[in-house]
Amino acid sequence: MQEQILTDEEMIVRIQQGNEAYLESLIRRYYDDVYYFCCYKTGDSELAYDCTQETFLKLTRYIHTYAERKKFRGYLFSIARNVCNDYFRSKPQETVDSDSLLLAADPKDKIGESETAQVVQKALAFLGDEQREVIVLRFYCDFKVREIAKIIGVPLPTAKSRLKRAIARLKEILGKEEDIYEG
Amino acid sequence: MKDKELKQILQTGRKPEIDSSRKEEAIRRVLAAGGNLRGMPRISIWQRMYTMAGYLSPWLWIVQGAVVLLCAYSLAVNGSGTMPTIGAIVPLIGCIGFVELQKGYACGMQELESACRYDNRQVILLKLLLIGSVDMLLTLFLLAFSTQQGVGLTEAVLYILVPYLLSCALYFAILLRTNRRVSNVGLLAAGIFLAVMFQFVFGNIDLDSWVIGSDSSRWVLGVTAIAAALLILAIRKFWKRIDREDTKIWSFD
Repeated sequence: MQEQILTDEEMIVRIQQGNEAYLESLIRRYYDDVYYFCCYKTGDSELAYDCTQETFLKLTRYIHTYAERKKFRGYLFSIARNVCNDYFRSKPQETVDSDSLLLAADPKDKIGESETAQVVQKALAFLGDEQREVIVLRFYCDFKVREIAKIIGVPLPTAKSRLKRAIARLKEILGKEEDIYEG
Repeated sequence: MKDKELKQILQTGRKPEIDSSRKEEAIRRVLAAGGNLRGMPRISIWQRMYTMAGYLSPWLWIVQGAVVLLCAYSLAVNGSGTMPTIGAIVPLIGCIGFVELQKGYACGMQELESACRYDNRQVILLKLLLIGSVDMLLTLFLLAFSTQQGVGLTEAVLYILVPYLLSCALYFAILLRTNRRVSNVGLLAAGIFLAVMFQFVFGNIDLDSWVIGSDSSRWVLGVTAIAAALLILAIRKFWKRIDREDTKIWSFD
């Protein structure tokens, strides 16, 4: 199929005209990214599958009202973020279990990398929800700060400030971990 | 620790594993849910406006019509001497329309409205086009009627069109300032304030001598152009705000 050369907006136009095949292509294009985001955000792989499915269900439901004025990827992640937040609002707040964060270390990796992955898991778990969210969007989903601000619905200076504080906190945590290992 | 170093550390390890069977099942379910996708037929702007008109309160048209008919009756009975009073009443025509325009926000329904076929921008645009068109028609009717009753065109424009344009510009400014959450009482109060203000201006300043003067038409044209420019500026700012804020983030609480 020719969808590889179509932009997101072009595919959406075709979907809005009733061409379901492009909907499947669009979902496959972003499924993995949305799943990773939901994983990092919720810390639970089972929940991430549910949130990912719910995200695309909502996309399907409202795609006819989508106006091609902004980047689709950011729009999709906005939905994913709200789906995850809605889950947390409806369920009792649970602390993110650092062991369940799925930065899986490949057994073939060197031992140092495996330990690093575990340290990163724990460091992310120590961050607050808002800070972890911006870290995930910036370093794992590769969004620019301007896009992050739109996704999380805050002004640009707020997003920058939040990211800066999150990075500083992470450096502090990881720096202490380094000291422990080097000590 | 530098940011690049932090990024390398954060990205250590593989990304989470995805169970392909679960992925395919999820995609299948989503497609099944969206399986009734039908091409949305193109609808003309007139049909859209007709549909939107069905959602507007009939009282909007009834009250506006009553105000205009009252003005026309007064003009027919009392002649051109009643023009200053009509000029004071004209701001209320626009006020009634704005109450309807921002009803979605005042009642907290804007998210519901934007979850329908059209997004928020389109809903507001349709309402603006509809209410604005009818308002302009009513205003032009008053203009035409007054000239038929022997009122000069210049005088009619000054007493009818200028207050209408200026009042609409003010209402847009109020909506912007209050983030479209001004109460109906607030808008009506603004309308009454404008009515009183125009009554004061028209009643205490001897505009007739200016209007009858040789350069009256240029002067009135200039004032009308300024009023129209203010209205266009207000609409532009309002539209830019709507455009910027329409981010399609829903709360599913």
